[in-house]
Amino acid sequence: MNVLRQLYPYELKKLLQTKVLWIGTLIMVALCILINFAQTAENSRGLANIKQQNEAARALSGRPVDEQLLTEMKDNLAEDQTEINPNDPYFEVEQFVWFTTMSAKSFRTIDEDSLYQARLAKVKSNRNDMSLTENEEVFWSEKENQISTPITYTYSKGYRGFIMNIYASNYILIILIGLCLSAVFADEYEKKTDQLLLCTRFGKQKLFYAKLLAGLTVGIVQTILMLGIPLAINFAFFGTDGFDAAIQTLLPECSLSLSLGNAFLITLGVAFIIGILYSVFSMFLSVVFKARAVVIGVMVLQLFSSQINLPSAFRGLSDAWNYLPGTFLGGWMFTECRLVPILGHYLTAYQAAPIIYLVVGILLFVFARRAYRNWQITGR
Amino acid sequence: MNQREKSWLQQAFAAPPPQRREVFLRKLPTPAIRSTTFVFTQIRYIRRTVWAASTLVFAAALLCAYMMPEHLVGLTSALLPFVAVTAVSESTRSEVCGMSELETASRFSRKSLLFARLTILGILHGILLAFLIPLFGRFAMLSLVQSGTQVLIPYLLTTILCLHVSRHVAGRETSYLCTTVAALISGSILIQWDTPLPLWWADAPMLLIVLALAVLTVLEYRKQLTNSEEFLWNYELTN
Amino acid sequence: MELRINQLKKQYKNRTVVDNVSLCLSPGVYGLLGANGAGKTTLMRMLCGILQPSGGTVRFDRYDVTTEEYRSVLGYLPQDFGYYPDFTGMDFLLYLSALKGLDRTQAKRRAAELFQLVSLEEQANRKIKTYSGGMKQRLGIAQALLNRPKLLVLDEPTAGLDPKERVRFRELIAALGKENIVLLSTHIVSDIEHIADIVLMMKDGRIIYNGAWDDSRGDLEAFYLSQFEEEETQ
Repeated sequence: MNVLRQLYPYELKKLLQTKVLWIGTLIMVALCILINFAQTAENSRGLANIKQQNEAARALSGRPVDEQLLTEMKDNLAEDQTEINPNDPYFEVEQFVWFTTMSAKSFRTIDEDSLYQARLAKVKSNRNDMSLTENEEVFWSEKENQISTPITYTYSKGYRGFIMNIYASNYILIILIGLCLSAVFADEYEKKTDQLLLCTRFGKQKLFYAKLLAGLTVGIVQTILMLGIPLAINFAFFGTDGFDAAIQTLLPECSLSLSLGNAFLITLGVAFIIGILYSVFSMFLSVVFKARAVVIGVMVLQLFSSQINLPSAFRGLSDAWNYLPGTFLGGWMFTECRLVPILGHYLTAYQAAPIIYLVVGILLFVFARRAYRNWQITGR
Repeated sequence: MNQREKSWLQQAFAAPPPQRREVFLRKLPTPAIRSTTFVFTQIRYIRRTVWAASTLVFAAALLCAYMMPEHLVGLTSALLPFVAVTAVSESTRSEVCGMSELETASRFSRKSLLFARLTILGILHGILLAFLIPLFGRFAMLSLVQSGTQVLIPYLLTTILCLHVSRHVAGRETSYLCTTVAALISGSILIQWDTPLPLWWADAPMLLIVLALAVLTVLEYRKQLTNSEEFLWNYELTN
Repeated sequence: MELRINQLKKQYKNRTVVDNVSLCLSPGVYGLLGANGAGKTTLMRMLCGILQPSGGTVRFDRYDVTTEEYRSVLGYLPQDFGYYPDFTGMDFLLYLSALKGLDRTQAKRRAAELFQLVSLEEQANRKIKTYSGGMKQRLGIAQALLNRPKLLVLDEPTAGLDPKERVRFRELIAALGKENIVLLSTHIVSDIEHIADIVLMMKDGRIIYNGAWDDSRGDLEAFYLSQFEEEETQ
């Protein structure tokens, strides 16, 4: 332990001395801030309108989205209004109708019955697209029976904004962590210092743990930074109200009895685990390939692949693809209906993913340690 | 005298031993080589990864255009920084591999060698970029200016930054840093692609940006060529 | 104190780089001579545990080369090694001290001692990237001596040193060789001539000569060349 305490600061120093880490982090922080501001501005059609919009939304908070509220919404619409407007006092209701029906014009004619029928149709359509098994259908039917309608609208823009925009931070972490941690082991090979380290007393075991810890420290700090920025921006603009809001106000097709606040915490937790997984994965690549460019290349490839969606028809492949950390994080992890059977129980996507990621992380750690122990000085 | 007679004579008489052969050979004029020939001989020395990168982007763009047109612009623009890096890496290969001293001292200066390779790569990448611009226009419904900016900005920005890096960093560190620059630019393009960042400014400012980047690229390459006139990295002798 | 090398072998596909080398080394200075590609560096790497042999064993007293105890008595200077450019010389030695198991107080004292020994006191707090080639080599020598090794393996240790530094280095090695096992490989025959107690000559992965050398035997270089000629005629 004492040795680790001695070696860890040096390994951290080596990482923090690289200009790439600081420049990369600065650029990505700037990008993250820019993206989150741009998202907020776009959703609100201008940052100046946010305060007024929030007040209007808070005025509706606690009200069920029933026939009365829908009538008020329709009565408030301008005669020639053909699309929803964030500045409308009933915008939150209009948006809920739009999310549920996916129809641009339905907010003019919708009533309570057709709204919730449209919701059920969306739920069914979502499940059909995923080619569910019989057990999965039964599971979700039971879950759906626990959802009571009409759904109560609760002001929760802070949590909603975070959940829907977290994917940008995820993409940023893929690149940033890859860039910063590619050097952890590969640098020793490229700088030819591995010969000096591997022949020392602690060079083959304790040093590995020290490097891993230092890499994880950097990865975790960057993860906290990239989660902290959207969190700060969303809560600064929209506040932290609405922890108990039903998740259906954001994701109508979701059959989970989950509050938005809990969904936010789950998203935060999964994002944190994903950040750790990226760190372990980058260091694994670094020790196996001993080339920084390869690590960066693989992480960039991961970013490219996260832009592509595989059709649900290819059940096994698309399941695995959707669980890739680059594609997984976001609101859709609560609307994923395919379950993961583990030891006789069915786990939903957001329950299974952290377990899968932790298992994969441990495996990567084991393989990385083995690769490090088998590190040979050859060909030089 | 025809060939047969020559052959008879060769068989009938032994040729006298050569005298002052070395003096004679030294006096022979060194054959001139045409510039175009010199340039074409350099084609074989350009690494396969350079050709492969351009071919890959070309193929990826075509595939995207037909199968995922909604991703065409984002994915292809994000690949272009890596194409730019292959061109820059060709221009810095001498320094990275420690060959710059030998090349500077050879008959054809390192400057002409570099110029030849850059000409070839300029033509190759020019064809690629010229192909991509109308492809974006056709499949992604972009105007000429929008296509041009989506293609040229990532490529030129990466080129400028990588050339700047290569003049301040020596050895293999250059490859790593250039890859990092490309990854950052590529990553930024992909990350902001689905977000409402102001991509589509008015044509005029975007054109100005492209022009400014093009001028900077020319200046950077000019500096690169000027630097190749003499052996600059003295500490390599003691490194 | 004894280093036992038994049937040590290293094979790459169809090429044998080190071919069943067996040696028993006790305290003294061993000079390893051989042409380029003879297998010297490969042998040394196997003795340092940073390259796995295809066959054979290496033991220092009862410790196998793969153990931590073996590495705790080892000091190694590779032929071509790197450094961390933004570390100062002192940082570098303290870092390696931690890896060699010295506590911080011990490490600082030892590092200061070694900087004096290799005449780098004034450069200790400067970044390594500002060092000349010779300074880096002296820093490399210093790091090899941090843990007062009983087994010191030096691969081309005098490369980059000026004549004055080379003489100082020879004196240092000669002193160390009195109580420790020092194995050094070099192309500079005069280095071995002056300090090696035993000369090991290596060719094509095999030890072709293993014996003492002193001035009464004549010119080592001529002897070295003659050994290679004899090998060829055989």
